[in-house]
Amino acid sequence: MHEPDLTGRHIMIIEDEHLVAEAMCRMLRVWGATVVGPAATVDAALTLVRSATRIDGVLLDINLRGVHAFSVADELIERRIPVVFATGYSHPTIPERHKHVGVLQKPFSPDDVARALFPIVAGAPGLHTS
Amino acid sequence: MNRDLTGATWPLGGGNTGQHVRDRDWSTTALGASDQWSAPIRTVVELCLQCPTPAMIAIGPELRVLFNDAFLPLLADARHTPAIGEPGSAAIGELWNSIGELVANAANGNPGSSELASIAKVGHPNGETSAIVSCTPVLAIDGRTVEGVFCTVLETPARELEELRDSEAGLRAAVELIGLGRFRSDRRNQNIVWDPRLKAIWGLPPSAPVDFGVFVSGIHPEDRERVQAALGASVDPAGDGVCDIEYRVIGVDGAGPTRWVASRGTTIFENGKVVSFHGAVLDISERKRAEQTNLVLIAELEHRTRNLLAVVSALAEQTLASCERIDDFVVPFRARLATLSRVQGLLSRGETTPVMLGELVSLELRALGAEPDGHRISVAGPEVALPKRSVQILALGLHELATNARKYGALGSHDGQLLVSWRVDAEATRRRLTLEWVESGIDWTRSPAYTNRVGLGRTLIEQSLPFQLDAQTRLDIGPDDVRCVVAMAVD
Repeated sequence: MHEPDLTGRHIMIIEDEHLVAEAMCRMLRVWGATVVGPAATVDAALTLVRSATRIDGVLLDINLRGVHAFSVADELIERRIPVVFATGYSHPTIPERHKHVGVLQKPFSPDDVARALFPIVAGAPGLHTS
Repeated sequence: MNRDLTGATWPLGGGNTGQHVRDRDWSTTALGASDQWSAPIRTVVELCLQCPTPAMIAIGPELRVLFNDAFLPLLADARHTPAIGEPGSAAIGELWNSIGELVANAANGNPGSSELASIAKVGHPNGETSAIVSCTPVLAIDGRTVEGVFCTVLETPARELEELRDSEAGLRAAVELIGLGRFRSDRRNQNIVWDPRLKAIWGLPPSAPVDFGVFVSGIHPEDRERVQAALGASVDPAGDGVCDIEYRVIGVDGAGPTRWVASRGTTIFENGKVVSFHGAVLDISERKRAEQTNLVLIAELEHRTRNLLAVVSALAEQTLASCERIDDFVVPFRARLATLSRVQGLLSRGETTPVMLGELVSLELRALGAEPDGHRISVAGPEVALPKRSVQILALGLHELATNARKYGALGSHDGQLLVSWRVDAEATRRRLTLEWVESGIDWTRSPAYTNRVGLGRTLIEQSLPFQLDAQTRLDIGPDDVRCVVAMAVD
């Protein structure tokens, strides 16, 4: 596939494993995106979501330091920010209200990320949080 | 009464009992003299006396009883022999209580019957025994009037009873060992009978009555439909009659703890109709809990493995990015994988054996052949258990520090010294660990480029540890030393 283009998009990374988060950030920057974060905890993620001027899409690890991150998903959906879940579980326990959210299974390749992220980000230009 | 009195020669034979029939003066009874008896009665009396198995015939409205020699052991009392021909219990004593009703039924015009009955038996250990009692009406020549009832009593052989008792004892032992609860009911879920163990699962005392409503009210609401569907299918004569199902029990009206049970029931059909339903129930809560724990463990293991693979993938990218040539990739990448592998070994010891900082430091130093000797290489600090999620990233950081020390720093310099030390300070709500990694006596002229280099070690210390563990870190490279400080909460 041709190199994905996320120029001008603000993508947030929420992931508690630093090496993995950094790898994702590099990948997004290569595609031209501006990275918001990364955030490693639910609190840090919520603070960042509430203060960021613009977020077009979010990759959210649903388990942060052993804590479910669905409250972050609630906040994002409230703000109409598109989100994709990332997880190491094959059969993650996802609350009914988030069943429609796409799930990326670790470990994922750049192609996996592109496939999950592009439909939700590219189709909704100019989404702002404020 | 003797032969001279009656002069009777009928009936022929029949042993002792035949003798008594011949000797009796029947003309004083309602039956009249025996030579006046009807042809069918005389034939059946002959048949009865010749019969090799216990048989009797009850004649006339009073049901006067004649029996054969084979019948005598059932009575087990020789006093009965002279009573031959008396009505009912006067002739055969207690045995009449067991079979009189069946005889009377046949006498009253009902068709013949054959039933398994408990019969009184004097001298038997239990005072009673099981027998198949068959009654056949003896009809007059008109083909309608019942003149008598021919009755055979066939004891269930003692050996079979013995076997049945053995088998029952074996079954009981198995039931006790496994802790089975047992039930049975008739076709309409009426007359439900549960044993005390099954009642206990429903939270009922042994004496409590049970009906279908009680049964259903103890089932977890989410499982009720499934259980009733399975029960419904098992009473379908077209099926195999088996109901094999696992479900949750919450006690009557949800008053008890939730338990998992396995239930197996069998429907008994007769001519395509349900006769009864029998089965057993086993409390399998422990097994279910173990299964559940296993599933959780497997999911956690998979979660850890997938995350580990993501870390390996990121490490590969990092390692590759720092290589000028592809040939430079293998050695450092393999060393990093080896660190991850050692960490997995430490973490797989289980929840009860935490990873201690001292062992982690020594493990990473030894992996590079740097044995702490208390002189050139010193490791000092109190025993401190590391939070589980900190082990992997700390190990990677220590590995990079040690690798750099060996390639460029104290472990590679002739006069170099390494001191790894730590202390734990109690703060208001948590304990704080401060770890210092100090290399001294380094001759940088061997690798002048190192001091400015930003490698994976610096990234791990300065970025990963703060990000992942909320640690405060410093990494300073001086004129002849390296000083790294990591401070973090440990509980």
